[in-house]
Amino acid sequence: MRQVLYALTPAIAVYVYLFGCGILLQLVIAIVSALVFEAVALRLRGLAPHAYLRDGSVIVLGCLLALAIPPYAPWWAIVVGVAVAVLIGKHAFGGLGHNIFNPAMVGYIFLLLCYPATLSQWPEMSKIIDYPGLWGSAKMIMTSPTEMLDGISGATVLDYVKTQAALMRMHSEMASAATFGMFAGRGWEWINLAYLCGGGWLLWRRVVTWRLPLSFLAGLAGAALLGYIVDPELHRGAVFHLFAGGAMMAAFFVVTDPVSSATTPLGMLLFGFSAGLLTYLIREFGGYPDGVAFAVVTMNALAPLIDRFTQPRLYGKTSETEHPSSTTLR
Amino acid sequence: MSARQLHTFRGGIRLDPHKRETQDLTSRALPIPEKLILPLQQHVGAAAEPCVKVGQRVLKNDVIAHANNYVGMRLHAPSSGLITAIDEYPVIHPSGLTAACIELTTDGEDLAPELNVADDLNTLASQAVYQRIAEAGIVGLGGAGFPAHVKVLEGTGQTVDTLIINGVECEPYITCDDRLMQEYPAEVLAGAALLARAIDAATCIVAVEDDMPAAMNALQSARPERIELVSIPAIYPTGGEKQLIKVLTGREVPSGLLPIDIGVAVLNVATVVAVHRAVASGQPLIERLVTVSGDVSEPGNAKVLMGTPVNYLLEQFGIDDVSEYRILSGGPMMGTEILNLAAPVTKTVNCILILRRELAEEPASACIRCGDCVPVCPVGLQPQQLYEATRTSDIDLAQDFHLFDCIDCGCCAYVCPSQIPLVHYFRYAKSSIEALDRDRAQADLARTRYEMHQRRISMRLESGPAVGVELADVSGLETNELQGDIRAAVARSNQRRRDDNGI
Amino acid sequence: MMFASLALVLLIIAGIWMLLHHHEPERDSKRRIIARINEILPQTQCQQCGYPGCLPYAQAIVSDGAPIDQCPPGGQVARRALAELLGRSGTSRRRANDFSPMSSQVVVINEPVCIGCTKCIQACPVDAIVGAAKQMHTIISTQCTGCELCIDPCPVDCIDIIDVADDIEHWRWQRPRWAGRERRAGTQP
Repeated sequence: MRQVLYALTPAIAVYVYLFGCGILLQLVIAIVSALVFEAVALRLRGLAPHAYLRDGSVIVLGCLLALAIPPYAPWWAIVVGVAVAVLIGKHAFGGLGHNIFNPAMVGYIFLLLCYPATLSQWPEMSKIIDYPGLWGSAKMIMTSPTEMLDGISGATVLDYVKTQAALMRMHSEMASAATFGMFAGRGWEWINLAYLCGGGWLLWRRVVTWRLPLSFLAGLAGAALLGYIVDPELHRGAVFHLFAGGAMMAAFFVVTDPVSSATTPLGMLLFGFSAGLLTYLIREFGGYPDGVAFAVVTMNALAPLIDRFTQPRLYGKTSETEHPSSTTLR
Repeated sequence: MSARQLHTFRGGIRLDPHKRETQDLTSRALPIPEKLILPLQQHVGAAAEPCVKVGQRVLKNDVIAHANNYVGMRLHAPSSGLITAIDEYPVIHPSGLTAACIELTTDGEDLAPELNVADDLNTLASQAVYQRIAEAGIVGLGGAGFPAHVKVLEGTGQTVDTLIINGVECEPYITCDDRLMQEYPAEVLAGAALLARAIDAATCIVAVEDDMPAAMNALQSARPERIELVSIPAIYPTGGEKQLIKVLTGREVPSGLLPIDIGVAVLNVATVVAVHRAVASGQPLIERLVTVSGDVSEPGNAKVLMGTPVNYLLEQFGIDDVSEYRILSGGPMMGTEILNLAAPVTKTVNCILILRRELAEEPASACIRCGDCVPVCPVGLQPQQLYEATRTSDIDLAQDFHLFDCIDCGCCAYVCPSQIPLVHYFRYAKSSIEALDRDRAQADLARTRYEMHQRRISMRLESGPAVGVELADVSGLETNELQGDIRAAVARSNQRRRDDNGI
Repeated sequence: MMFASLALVLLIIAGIWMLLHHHEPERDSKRRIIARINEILPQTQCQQCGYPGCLPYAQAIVSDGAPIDQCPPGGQVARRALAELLGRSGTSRRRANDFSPMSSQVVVINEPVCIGCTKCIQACPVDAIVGAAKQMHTIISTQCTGCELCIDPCPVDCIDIIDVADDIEHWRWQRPRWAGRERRAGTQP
């Protein structure tokens, strides 16, 4: 778990550089509330809190959720999100090792559906603005002032692309917009690159299996490439999609959650690939700008089914896949 | 060394072999222990029946117990002495329970009668070979303890094209087979040739792990004829019968069947040496090489007489205080903890391992379904699904995931990041299911007997009182032939009935 | 809208079909069910369920609606298996941890005291006692189910119940204790 936190530090550093100190406060609030809610849940379930808190998975959960929501969102947003993630996403299903859905994604989706406005208030990066310092960030987060900092109501690049597409503008017309950076969305490309570096380190240290992240990226890139080949004006290419939104974070930190993903080797490949594909489909054809959370949660629901049909070959058996005759899937 | 193309088996893990400590040390002979404890069951199959009495004097190599049936095994006296008891003694078993054993107090003289040496090995018929193996009490010395003559006999009855001699000691620390091949390479090869001829196998392979180069060299120097020497990569558990067959031949033994069913016979290298000694010189199995290793200052291999108590062996190796250690019979992956050190070394003990107790054993936490256990399973099982089934004692689900194909190798438990004792769960489930099946069989038998009983009663009722047992009357007995104590017993019983009914 | 109404229609049709196809089992299948219940029951013939044997109890379950939890030797294993067979509440899968051995007890005759009256032989439902009038009686312990029906009829009280000791052959691995579960607040380190 500690190594996962280390792997997040490049991304956090880029965040701070691009968006200011808000993210640090969000992280602090997230971690504290995650620990508090976890302790409460453990106590309610009659389990010794200190033994389970030590494993740190809930800290990672908090950090991921804090990184997923806008850095200047009011304090209650992250607290509510963490509460839902820990209490409902994790403990209602049985606690460590038993959750069907990725808890961080559960929390994020809850926030997205209940407070869509709050969750779309990303700072504008096309202009160079003065971000408030630590104290200023604290004031913003804790008091959520009615007057918005100039440029806070900006959208992410995915959001921009979607709204522009709805206005029937072609990509070549959009290309000059300031939301685009060197190879993908401005600013976001660096964040995703930072996630990629952290993720690559995790792969090298063998903390996560290679099957899930690489199949996710393959699914996303493959689908994007196909779309680009079909019509470059309507669909953006693979590189754009790989470095936009939450793609890299999902690839290395969300999809790799062992509890909610498939467990057989072939199953992991299918799971990751499908999640990537689904992300692309939601981004291009769905109602939300970024489809990562929904794609992951959908695949979580299908993971037991994938496991059932991708069982490894038993020594001595000649048929490729063995189907258990029981009706229980988990 | 042959250029045979090797295959790989799925899964497995690389372990630190810990062989350097003992593989270059010559095996030691030990002085004869004062007492030898010989369990009547040292093999797969029914227990042997003693054919000696307490107080009887026996010579070395005398038969002291007979095999009960086809899959039984005889027992021989490892040294001369007096039979002092036939009783329950502690044995090496995970339960720590006792079993029936013959206790032999040695006289130190080691007197033995003349052995029945064979005239010419090459002309010996298969039947004769089988006979001599059975008479010598040889079981599989690799740890399974399956009677060797049964394997050979099954081999003569069926077509065996490949005989594999298993010199692959894949568990860490154990080097007794390594030393055996280094010290008696000619016997290994002679035994292999003998067996190959007896079961008419076209191919005979001796497999050695690649971390045992001295053993391979010794075998090569003994100039094997028509025997392939193959070196295979040291991946645990490549020494397992089914995995070894896959590596050497590419064939897989179908689930539920035996190697013989696909034309392959596998025997441990120590078994083969014992077979050679039995067939060539009539020497029964009374001693074997045992490795003593682990966290000890002077590890090594020893020629140990069957029935030597473990504490005697430890003493000979200068190990006295073992309170901080766990003593295992076997290797660190599949070994059994020895709960009573007075238990004896038997035919299936290949290593006594002394390991320091972990100061704080990491307790198990929840399974996080990481799936690390799946790629390492050499059988292709899904340990995390089996764990789920066995944890909730769900028998049907466990069998859906092929619980009984598990070979207890421990690879899954070794890699589990949550430190779950997976093999322990699987063993629990397997023995529970076997016990339930035994009970089911007993219930079926009881039902049949009940049905016969009912039928007999109804037949008797139909045909009248002439058929059947004459019913005796208690009152009649009381007045006629009752002895005083019977009268007293009846009175006691009646008193009890009155007391029970509050009269 | 159209899809929704189509789905609703399909559901209604399916429901009607299921209702029509649910019927009481016929007599022949009743006999089969009784036989299957009898297979589940442990056959100790001890009559603790209140019926004169396992088969009568099976018949009573099917014909008189006798409750399925009357069998102590069968224990939880039998109860759950019966629940699954008959579609009643209770989990539908075999569990190993409620396993209770069929005979953890057998009876033994104290032979010097036995007077050869054959009363116990008549009482034994599985014919596990060997003997004849004025001849020594003895129990075939491998066939004895521990039902205790022979103890009362003996006029000289020479039959005793003994526990079958757990020997190496019948020893089973115990279920490992999962440290996590036991680490409840304050109960275990």
